[in-house]
Amino acid sequence: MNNGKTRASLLGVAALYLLYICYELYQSRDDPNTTMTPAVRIIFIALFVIAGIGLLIYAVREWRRSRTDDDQPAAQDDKNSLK
Amino acid sequence: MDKKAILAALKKNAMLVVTVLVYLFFLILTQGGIFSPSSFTELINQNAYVYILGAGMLMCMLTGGNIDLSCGAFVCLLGAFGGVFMIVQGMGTGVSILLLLLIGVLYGVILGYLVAYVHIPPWIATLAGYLAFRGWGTAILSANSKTGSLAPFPVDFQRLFYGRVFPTDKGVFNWPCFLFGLLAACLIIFVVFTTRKNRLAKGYEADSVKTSALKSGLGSAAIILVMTKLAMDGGIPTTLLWVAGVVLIYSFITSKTTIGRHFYVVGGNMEAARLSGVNTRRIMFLAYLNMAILTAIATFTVIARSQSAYADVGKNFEMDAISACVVGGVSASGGAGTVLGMVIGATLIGIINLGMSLISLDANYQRVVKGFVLLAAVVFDIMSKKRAK
Amino acid sequence: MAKILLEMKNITKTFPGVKALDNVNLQVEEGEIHALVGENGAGKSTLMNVLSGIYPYGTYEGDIIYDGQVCKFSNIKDSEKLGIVIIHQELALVPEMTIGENMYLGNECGHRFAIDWNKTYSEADKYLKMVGLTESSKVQVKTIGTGKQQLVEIAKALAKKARLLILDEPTSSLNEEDSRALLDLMLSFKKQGMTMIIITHKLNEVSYVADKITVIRDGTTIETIDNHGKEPVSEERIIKGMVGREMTNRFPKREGVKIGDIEMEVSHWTVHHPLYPERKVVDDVSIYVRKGEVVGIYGLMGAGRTELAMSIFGQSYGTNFSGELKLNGKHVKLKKSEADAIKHKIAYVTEDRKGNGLVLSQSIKVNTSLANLNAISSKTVIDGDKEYAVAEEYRNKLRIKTPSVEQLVGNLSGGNQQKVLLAKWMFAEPDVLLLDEPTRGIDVGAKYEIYCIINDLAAAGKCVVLISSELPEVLGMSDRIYIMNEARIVGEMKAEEATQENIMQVILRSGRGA
Repeated sequence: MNNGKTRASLLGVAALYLLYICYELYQSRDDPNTTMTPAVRIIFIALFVIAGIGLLIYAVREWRRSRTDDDQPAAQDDKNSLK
Repeated sequence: MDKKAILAALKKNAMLVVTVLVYLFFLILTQGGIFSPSSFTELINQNAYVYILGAGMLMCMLTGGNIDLSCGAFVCLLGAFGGVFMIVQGMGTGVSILLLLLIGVLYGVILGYLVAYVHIPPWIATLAGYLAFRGWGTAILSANSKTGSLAPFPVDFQRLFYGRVFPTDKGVFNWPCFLFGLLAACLIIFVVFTTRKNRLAKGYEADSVKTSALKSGLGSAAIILVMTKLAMDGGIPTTLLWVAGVVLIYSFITSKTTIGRHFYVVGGNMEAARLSGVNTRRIMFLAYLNMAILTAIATFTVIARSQSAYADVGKNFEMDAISACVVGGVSASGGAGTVLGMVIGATLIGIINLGMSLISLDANYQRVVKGFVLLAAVVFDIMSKKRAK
Repeated sequence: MAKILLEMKNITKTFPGVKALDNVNLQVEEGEIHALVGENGAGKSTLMNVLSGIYPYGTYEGDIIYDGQVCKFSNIKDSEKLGIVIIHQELALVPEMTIGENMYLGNECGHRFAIDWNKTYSEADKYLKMVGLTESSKVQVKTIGTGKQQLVEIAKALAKKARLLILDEPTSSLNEEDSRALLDLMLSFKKQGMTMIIITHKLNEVSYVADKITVIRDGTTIETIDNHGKEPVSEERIIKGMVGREMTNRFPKREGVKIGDIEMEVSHWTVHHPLYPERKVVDDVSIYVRKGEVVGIYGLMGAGRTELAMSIFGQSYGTNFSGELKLNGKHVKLKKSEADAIKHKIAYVTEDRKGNGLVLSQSIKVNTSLANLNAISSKTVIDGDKEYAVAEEYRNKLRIKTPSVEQLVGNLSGGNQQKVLLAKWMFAEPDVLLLDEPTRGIDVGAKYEIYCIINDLAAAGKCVVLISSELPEVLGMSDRIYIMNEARIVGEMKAEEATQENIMQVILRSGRGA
């Protein structure tokens, strides 16, 4: 199924967006208008970095799993026996 | 016995329940602010692009979890072109709209061809747009304007895509709007009950009278509420017509047409669809052509509202549309999802956005909330996949 | 009297709305191979799930008495601790990991935080030798074939110190050679005192290895047959128990066979491999099919039969096509499009119903109408009522067991799924049906029903091409048989002249440099 791969890439995009949010949070550290304290900012950045990287790893794994799923049908050909 | 039925019904409409709960949450936080008539208008106007882009994104995701990362940047580019046509060159509104639509179609054809016939993975193909279009749009804007943005758009253009239909001054109750709401409510009740009667007549199962009454009752009440609020704020927002039009058309396409059915099976099992005679490549092509056209329409509503074309327009649009779909139950692997689901998802996100700006939540915290919503949607999708195994 | 190792007494298991097991009794002696046979849905797997603890104590009635003790398992680990190990039909191995890692998944040697890999691998190698594998346990699972993976599963079970080994359809994804090797392995284990329960559809295997055969039908034990006699129990005897009626004919009689003119003719058809264009997957094939005829195409794995059928069906497989196709006497040049083939009244029923035949996430109704949506819609708007009616019509005609046509196809049993697939193609109203392994993985009762459907199609004047790897099926159903080997047609026989022996001879004689 091609669906496994596209789902994996969708999750990958989500992961990258989470990391992008971290980037945005980091960029705003000098902004005087923000009410977010540095401590809180670090906590959230850390949270989203972990979530983002975790999701990225999961997405890559899903990608590889759907790739081996594509190879599986070849193995099934052994089923055609003489009987 | 009734308690169990209520719980089951809640589970089935989980997202709707969540939306209502979140709304009540913000109702308290904003001390009723979110219930004001202007909030309703703002919700629709601010969020229109999510519904329109969401419909397009839904069609792409149905084919197998495919997305369009370029729609936000394309809005910026089209906005820039629009500014050049209508403000700098002073071309007529009608001509400009046509030209912009043509550009959208051109992009859609190229993109659709690359995805469907050259087999470039959609996220790569649209990523190119995401990276290139904003720069291109910004370049056009700076070449034509000292401030980097073009304004104002001609009045008749704005009236087409923003403002009100049959406007009245604030403070005056807008009867056309209210009557329209009543009409829609009656229509819903009528349709629900006649469908039920027809099904029973043909011998199929149908909801009980109680359930039908409940469903249509809640639906009509919601519509009347919304329309009344809008009536108190000056009438039907023009964007509402566009959103309603898109939503109704795509609801019809996905549920009742052969082409809509083809989208679902291509996403469900592309090989099986192909072997059953479905032109899978044409469906993929149409998905992206359609997305480009809807992006053009969304662009019109956006630049009419902001009355200008500027470089930052369209930021995050693609993520909003994708989130609306995922939150609304559109499966990330394709083959499942409805327009209604997307609408609920978009509404939920819209309520969160509006609520956050009403309480003037710090921009950083707003980003954090957006991140959490996305995370929740992803976790939900992963868990439902696990349960299906 | 040998010691009874396992007794399942009066086991009853109910799911909402359905009684899966109704007072089932099973007795297995120590050191014997006990076969559990029955149709799909009869309750065999459910019974084994109760035994292994997947359905824990409290969710069923009755007793499990193992080694003289009443057992109350709350999960699989409990039953495994006593040496009851179940090997499921679907391989539970992680392809990316090595054999050793797989074998000790959840069971690692060493401490909680420090897995002793050396010990793990050397232990694993020990068990691999026991099942006859020469590979090292450091090899990745995905690099070895399915047959060997199945043996790894058994080695995994041995590593759990199994005393009672339960094998659920162990040979379903193996070829002839690997199946035989596995059965012989079971016999050698028996000599070492291992007790085994085997669930299988393949009745010839049952005759070969089983000491006793318990037949289950509709959730109850029908009988237990002793296989210790001089002659192994005949397949007919077992079928009779399973199906509940004399199946003297595994294949229904063809009523009113009326063979007409040639409907489809293919001449000098050559197709090349899509990835390796120098390789011919179909080599100068010429066949014809007449109206009302069932033509069987028999061949070994890789002979090119599927490629032949798919290439005829709108060139949906292969590259570099040459040859002629005649439909109803007229030359036809089909475009490279499946829809075009369907328009010309050709239907291809794939051998892989779950992979590329059905959309499992959609309902029976949606799947049935898929190849002919135009018939139930006017100007692209689908008539929901018509669609429902059509699905109902085929549900009744083909006897698809389901409470409603809104049921998702993914939830149906294999036999019913195949029926939905057939319904879809029948609804497309073809004149020529290319059936590719239509009864693969389906139990005896459902197979018979599908044979009846095939006969009805032929009686209605359609051309049926039956591609099959089951020799008895080809012999029992066809009017005429083509034999294909290594991309060529190497023989053609009328049904009356064909026997298992002379078909095999034709294949052997035709082998290139065999």
